[in-house]
Amino acid sequence: MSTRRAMEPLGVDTVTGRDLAVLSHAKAAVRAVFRGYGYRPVHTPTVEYLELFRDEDVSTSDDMVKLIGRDGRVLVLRPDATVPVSRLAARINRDQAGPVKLSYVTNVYRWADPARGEQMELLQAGVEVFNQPEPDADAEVLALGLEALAAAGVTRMQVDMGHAGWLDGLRQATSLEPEVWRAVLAALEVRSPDLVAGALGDAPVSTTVRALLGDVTQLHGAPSTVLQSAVSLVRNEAMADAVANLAAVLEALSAYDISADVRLDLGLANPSRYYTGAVFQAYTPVCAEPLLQGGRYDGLTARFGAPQAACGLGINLTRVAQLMAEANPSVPGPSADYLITYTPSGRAAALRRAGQLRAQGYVVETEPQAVDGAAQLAAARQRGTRQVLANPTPSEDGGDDETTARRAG
Amino acid sequence: MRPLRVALAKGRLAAEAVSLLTASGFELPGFGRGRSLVVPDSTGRLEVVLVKSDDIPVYVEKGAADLGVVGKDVLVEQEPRVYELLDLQFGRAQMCVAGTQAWDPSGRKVVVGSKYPRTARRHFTSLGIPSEVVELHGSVELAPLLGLVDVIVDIVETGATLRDNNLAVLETLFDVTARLVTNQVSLRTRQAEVAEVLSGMRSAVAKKESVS
Repeated sequence: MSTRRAMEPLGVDTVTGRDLAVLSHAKAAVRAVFRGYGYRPVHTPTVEYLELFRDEDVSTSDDMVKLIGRDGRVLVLRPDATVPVSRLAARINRDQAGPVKLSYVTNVYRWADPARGEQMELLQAGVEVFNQPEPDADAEVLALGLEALAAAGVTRMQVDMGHAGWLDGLRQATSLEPEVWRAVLAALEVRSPDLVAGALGDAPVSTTVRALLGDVTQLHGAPSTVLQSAVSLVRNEAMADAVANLAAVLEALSAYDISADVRLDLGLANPSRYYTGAVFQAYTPVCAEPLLQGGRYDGLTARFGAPQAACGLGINLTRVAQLMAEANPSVPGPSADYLITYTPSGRAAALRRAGQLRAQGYVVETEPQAVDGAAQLAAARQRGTRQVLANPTPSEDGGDDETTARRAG
Repeated sequence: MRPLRVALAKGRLAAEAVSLLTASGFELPGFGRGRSLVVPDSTGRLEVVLVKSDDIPVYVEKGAADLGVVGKDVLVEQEPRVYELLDLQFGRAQMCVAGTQAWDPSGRKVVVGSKYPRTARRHFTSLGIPSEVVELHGSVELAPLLGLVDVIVDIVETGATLRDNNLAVLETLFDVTARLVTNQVSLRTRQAEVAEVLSGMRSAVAKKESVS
């Protein structure tokens, strides 16, 4: 096979050794936190029908990796875990009342631009809680997400929190045309009064509305200050409810011991437009994209059955693992404790010895003794194997080999 | 944390950007001296790095630089995931379609030469005109003269180069100036520093405009 055909396609990687060890550690750390909070792990299919995701609210069809099924229907590789988990929650809800807390660690897929170093396959970890409309749920989700990131080794986190209801209320209060509103939203995200003015252009918008939107660009920073300013800019019930809800979520959050710096940013709009309440993103300065994104998305389950309260978040574990690998270059990859070599007559005894050591939890490699013994030892050392035993015999008590075997090398 | 890092395009536009930074209160006496590509300001608050203009978006997008000064032509072409904060109003030019006066656009597919292939394709698609785009990397004016392409899409400053090669502007797509850009994480985690540079440059630009 030519080299080109043997390489991985652009945008996907083979992961081994140290990198895999770092990724596995991050996965285990995050799973442990999810489990500790009582979130049950679920697995959803890698392949789904396009219709499940094709909705303006979820993601652009262009980014999804598509296949044609045997029946001619279009299939996609899962671009998102929240929608499939919501489908599951709707099913559970038919038979079971009360809060449903689910978690996942799974690959998600999208067409990516390898020229920009984008990955097609990303490991995403997340949680979703259903049937808990109280702000306590929003706070719990964010707190546990931050705890999971901390457990995986991420430090110096900053959280920005906004509210989809605030932006929706603002849209109602300003009655802007959809296109103008979209441009204003983009300007609000950059917190730029100039860009807002540019987005409004010469649209028939009153000076009051222009001033309001200009003021909204300043609604970011310390929570207490921002909430105070936001209160003075409330123009309708939706905006008032959003401010009250944010205050309640922050109040609940203060009961957790979180190590991140939490700020408000009322111009924040998470990319997926199914959010209905508090939305949040977490960053660490060394990484140019958010590590964690989430929020409240009540009602998404309506397309599968009854509308339910829902809140959740996703963590980009692939990125987290990359950061951890960069930050800890001395983390060792997996290696064996022993290599046992044997001659044909010593094989049975040597393999029994290997079994004894493995039963004690050691990692043991076995190989027939090579003609070039020195090369065999050198190869073992290069792999990081700690000790080499030649033709060992089982110990009576099955114990450690310190005194019972001859060591070579 | 490391000083705020600003990526500037090597070349004459870097000097204009540096003069705006100086007018904003930063001191870059080391700029222009020696061959170092990293120039710290005396106050230690920021450092300037010199990068090829086409590369500024990826440096900023990936967080290797917090801010960048780059032409609108590059931003429109690459559509990077960066936020545009301010129009710095220098480096003025226009993105244009240019060709020999004789070119007849009716009906056929147009062959377009450009250093901005995506911009070119988007433009002709928006007009409903089928196009074949030939990506070029320099001396783009030569292409229509040698019959490689029908027209070119390129930035035009004075128009002298076009005139010297018997080419004319057939259509203007948009105005080009240098822009200040940042990425979403620098904007949020280095809020105060970014705001300081932004407001300093905004005042410096306004002052220059009022004088001219």
